[in-house]
Amino acid sequence: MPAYRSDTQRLHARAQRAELTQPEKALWSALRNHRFHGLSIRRKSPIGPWIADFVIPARRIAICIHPETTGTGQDHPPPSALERLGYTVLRPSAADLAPDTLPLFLRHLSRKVTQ
Amino acid sequence: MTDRAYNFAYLDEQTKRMIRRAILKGVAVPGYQVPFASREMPMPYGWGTGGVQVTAACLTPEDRLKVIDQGADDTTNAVSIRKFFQRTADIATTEATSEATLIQTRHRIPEQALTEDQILVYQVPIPEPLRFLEPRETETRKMHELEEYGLMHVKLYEDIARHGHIATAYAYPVKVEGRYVMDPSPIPKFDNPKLSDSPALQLFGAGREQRIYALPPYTHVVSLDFEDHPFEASKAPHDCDLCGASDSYLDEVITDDRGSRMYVCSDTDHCRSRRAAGFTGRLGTPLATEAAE
Repeated sequence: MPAYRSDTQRLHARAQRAELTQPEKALWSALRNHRFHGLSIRRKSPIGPWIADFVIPARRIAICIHPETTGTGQDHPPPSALERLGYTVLRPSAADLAPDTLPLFLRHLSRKVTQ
Repeated sequence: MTDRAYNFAYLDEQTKRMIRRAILKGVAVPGYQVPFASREMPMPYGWGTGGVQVTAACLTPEDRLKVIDQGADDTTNAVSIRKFFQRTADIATTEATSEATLIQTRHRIPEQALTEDQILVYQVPIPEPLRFLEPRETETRKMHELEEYGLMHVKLYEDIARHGHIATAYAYPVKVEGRYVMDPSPIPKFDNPKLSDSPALQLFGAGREQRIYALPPYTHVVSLDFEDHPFEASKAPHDCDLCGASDSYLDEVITDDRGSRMYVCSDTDHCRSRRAAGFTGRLGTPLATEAAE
């Protein structure tokens, strides 16, 4: 039984990983490779029928960048649905992930992770 | 090569005529597997070459095509076949079951009831229901000829002996008009009752096996069973988590590493239209609210 819903979702997630937006790239470079609290973090991760921008499975945290900046689509998870699945959902905007504000967001995320 | 270099719907007119003759014969003898000279198609066997050829033979420029793969309009196979016909036949396509005049499907029957104006084309991998019981084609043909279907009942009985119930969950054999045993293609047995007395014409195409068979509208189709083990159209005992439907066939999707799962309608159009109408399930939000989020 696949964790993704269909081949298309898997391919779509893969395509999205290859075309990250600038804010996504900035956040990913801060989180990837176990750099953030040694945690394993996934980008563009399928959850049910949706694709979340970033997921920290060990802490059940999903980061969904505000769709104004990443584009909406059927894949974009409604935060309320993820919350009902038990995820803590963070919804930064693109401005929150700009080079000068990114450390603030990471501090906020750090608090959520260590809670 | 430009798109105009293709004949309408890719196949040449002679081939389409040949396929239409096979379809007519199939319609005249419901459930009988009609051999036809399957052509090489620009896709591998197993990707719906039979269904595509039947669709190509039935398409007219006025048709509106819908293609589904396991109920979903957005999977790779469905998207590719839809694009193929858009390119070679320049026809209109749709994802709405009610708007389509011709629906090509892989392994599902749409949840919404079909009408007399619609044709449902199935992609069939193995058209012979007796194939795994008797590997010789000459023998299976003879068995169909003599209506010798005891072996199929033995197979179902062995299921009961082993599992306590008939464990066949898909490609569940059916008897058409009390005569031919037919493989309904690998649709879940949940869909079997929809085969019977359907107002739509149902055509089955198997490209690799070079067989076409058909169910004309309002054909009586019965799933094989026993008096003490009647046929049951089973599904996961849940409601759709997005639209709340309790009567639709569901896909089970894992949502995290701890084995949590959710159930969503396999028929994406059905689920979307229910959500658009305001129905919601355990995890769903109405489409309008979701757009606002």
